[in-house]
Amino acid sequence: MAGEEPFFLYIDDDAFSRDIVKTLLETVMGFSQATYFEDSHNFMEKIKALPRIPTLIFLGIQVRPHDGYQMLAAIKQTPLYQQTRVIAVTAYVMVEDVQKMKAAGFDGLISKPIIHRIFPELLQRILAGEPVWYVS
Amino acid sequence: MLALKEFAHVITQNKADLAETYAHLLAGAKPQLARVPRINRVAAGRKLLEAVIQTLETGSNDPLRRLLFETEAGPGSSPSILDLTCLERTLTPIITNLEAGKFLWQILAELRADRPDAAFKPLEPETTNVARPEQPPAGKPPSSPKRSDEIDPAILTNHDKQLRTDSFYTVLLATITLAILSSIFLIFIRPVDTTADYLWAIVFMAVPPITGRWAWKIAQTGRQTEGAWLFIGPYLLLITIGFVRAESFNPAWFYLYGYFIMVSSTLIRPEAGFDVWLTCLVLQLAALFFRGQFLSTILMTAAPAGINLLMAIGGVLTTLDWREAVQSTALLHLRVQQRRDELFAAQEELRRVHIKQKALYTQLLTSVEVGQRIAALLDLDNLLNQVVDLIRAKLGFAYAGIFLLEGDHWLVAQAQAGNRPVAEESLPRLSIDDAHLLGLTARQRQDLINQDIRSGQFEAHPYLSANALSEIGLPLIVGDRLYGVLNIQSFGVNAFDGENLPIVRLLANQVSIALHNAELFHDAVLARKEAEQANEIKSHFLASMSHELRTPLNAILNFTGFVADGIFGPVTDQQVDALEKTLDSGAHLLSLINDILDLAKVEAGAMDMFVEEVDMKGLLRSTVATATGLTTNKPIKLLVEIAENLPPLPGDKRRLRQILLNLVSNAVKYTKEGQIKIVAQPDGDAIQICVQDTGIGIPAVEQPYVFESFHRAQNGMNSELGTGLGLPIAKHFVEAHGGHIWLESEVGVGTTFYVRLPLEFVRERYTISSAQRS
Repeated sequence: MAGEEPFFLYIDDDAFSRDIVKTLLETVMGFSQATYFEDSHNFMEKIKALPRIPTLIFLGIQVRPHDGYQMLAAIKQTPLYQQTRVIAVTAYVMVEDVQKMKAAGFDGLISKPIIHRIFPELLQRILAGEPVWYVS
Repeated sequence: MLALKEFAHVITQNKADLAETYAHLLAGAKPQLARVPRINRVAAGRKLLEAVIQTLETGSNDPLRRLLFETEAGPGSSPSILDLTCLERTLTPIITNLEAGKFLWQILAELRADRPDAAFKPLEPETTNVARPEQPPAGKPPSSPKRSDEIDPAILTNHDKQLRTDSFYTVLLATITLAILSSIFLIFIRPVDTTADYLWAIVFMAVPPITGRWAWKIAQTGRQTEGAWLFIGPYLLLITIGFVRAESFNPAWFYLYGYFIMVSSTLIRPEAGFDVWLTCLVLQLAALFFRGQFLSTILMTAAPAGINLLMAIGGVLTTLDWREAVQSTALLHLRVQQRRDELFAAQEELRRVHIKQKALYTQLLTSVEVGQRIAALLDLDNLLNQVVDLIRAKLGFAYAGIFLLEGDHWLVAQAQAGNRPVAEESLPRLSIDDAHLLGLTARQRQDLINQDIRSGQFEAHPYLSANALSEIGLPLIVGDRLYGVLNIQSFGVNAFDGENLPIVRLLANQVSIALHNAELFHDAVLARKEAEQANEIKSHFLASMSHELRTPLNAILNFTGFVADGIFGPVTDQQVDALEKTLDSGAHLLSLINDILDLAKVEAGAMDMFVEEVDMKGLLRSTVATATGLTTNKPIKLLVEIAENLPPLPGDKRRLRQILLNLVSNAVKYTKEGQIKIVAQPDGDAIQICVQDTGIGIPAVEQPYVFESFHRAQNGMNSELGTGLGLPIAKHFVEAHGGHIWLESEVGVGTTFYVRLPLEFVRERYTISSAQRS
């Protein structure tokens, strides 16, 4: 994966969040390889239909019809995406939620509100393989 | 039947002892029998014993029946001396073997049924022993006789007669022997001249045995005096006739008179000896007078008459002795009897005490067992069933039932054991307004005993066993709360007495407590469920609120940030300034949201603590590092003193960090210049941390309120400085760790906050999770 530009996928039905992440990834950080799903209909088929396996998948939690946990489970069950890291992006950041995400198998968390001046640093750490559980 | 035969065998082995016992009990059971000579009583006892043994061996009531009829029809004996009541009274204390006892009772009941005659008085119910509740009411064991030296005159007469009768035969034999010997003596001393003399001698010898036989018969009917005169009379007559007829006088006659005096004083009333002497003397003198030798004969007979007089006096004296003897023998007999009674009573008492102790032991064991089951079982239905089973089986009652109150007026059978009068599938409710024992017990809330159900004192209820003779109702009550009624029934009357009442009450108490516990448990489960639900709702609400507030902030902060950072195109400095203020306000709003949620969680009791060993040195250093960033724009010196031996502290790392950060940032906020000193050191079983600043200080009047939400120093500090929640949150978190926080401050000099955190975590107030957090 080294040297190859990372490929991001972000699934969230909140348009503002998609805009923010898109701006951060593409405009602020200059990544060009990113795809956004505005809901979780047939997400697995859509993921498989992508040109390449995503490096990192950002998942909203309160997404319809399949929430972040269901999507995570489906992704983690597919052998093809064993190496893909899945990060939760959510405003559900109570202690219990964080525990639940860890237990479910998320590889990290970036809470909403995203702090735009910190996001680039967090993403670099995530890409470097560090577990990041950031609650603003 | 085998057990009966074994028991019969045991009785047979101890026949001799038991015959005595039976005799004794017979006497106790029937006063008339006490007068019968002992030997006869023992014989009667033996007879009864034989009949009992045969009854047990054959399993038929014939032997006892025969005994009853025989004695009733027996000639000479007083009528129905062994009536059925007497038998019942006699047998009750003896039969220790339950099965044999039951069997004999059955036999007696059969006999009673055969003879519903007025002569058979039904046995008065007296007491029932709790250890033998299956047994029908038992006769009272012979009570200890009152010890007294006063002898009933009737008994004295009885003894007198008895002794006379006993000695009469002996004396009679001796008299006859002596009469024959003296006749022979007379014949040989005096030369026999005529055939008439021979005839005379033969008559003389023949008369006493003949009259003696009559005398004996008469004496046997109790008329000893008449018997004695019958014996002596003809003899005396013969002697007198012979005396008159005799040619010459023989002083030996006088000695014969003396002998008669002696005999009479023994046979007849002793005091009559003097009368006899006088009679003899008068007869003798009369005879002498007729013979014309009056004076010389008087002289000649003076000596023998004197001797006879002495004998008569001796007789009178003997009389006194005799009376004494009679009295003392009677007394002796009485004493012996008393002693026997006492011994028997003591033995009986011992046996009863033993049985009582055994019963008490069983009862205690039962109550302990019930207690244990109550402690061990939370399943109420099962418990109640076990309790009634125990009461019935261990305490030996006919029936035990627990009735629980339904609403305010109905009793419902919840558990029953024993002779169930009502089928399981059709249990009727009982109204507590009815006048049966259960209703009254529930209404009056106190124990009620029906010692004899046949008395009709209480109304019958459908749960009464067919053969129950007494019952008790105990309210199941704790404080003011009536849970129901415990009903126990027995086959015996008067089954509930001073001995088993405490135990039965204890059991009722235990059941009440079990019911109470079950209710408390049910309430507690319900309350807990409700509390859990309420907490869940609160937590859910807080989570939703957090989410709902954070989501719009996401857009506000980021889009503003993008514009301010020129990402969406160039912006003027003025615009940047305005946007930065917006961003600051947004950040402030976010921290406010976080603090409010923290506080709300604490107050909702929904705060989870993630307790781990926290490296306080590391935590303090990282906090100071963060705080250093806060002081960059201010002329403030940050001093840190962390003791090298500062131990790790069990606690929630995130909360501990927040406590420190809140205090340090507070100090930075309220200090324009000078220094902030952070000191941490171990202090006994705790760690003490102090944060000292040279800030504006807090006036004494405000100090008590600084830990309250949204209370902030009023003196010129604007709202940018903080949420006003930092100290309340710190206080909550410190207290969640079992520690405490306080401050010292002087206006214009500075403020010092102290935090003391114990090294042992108090695990009471908060849910502890061992989950690791990063």
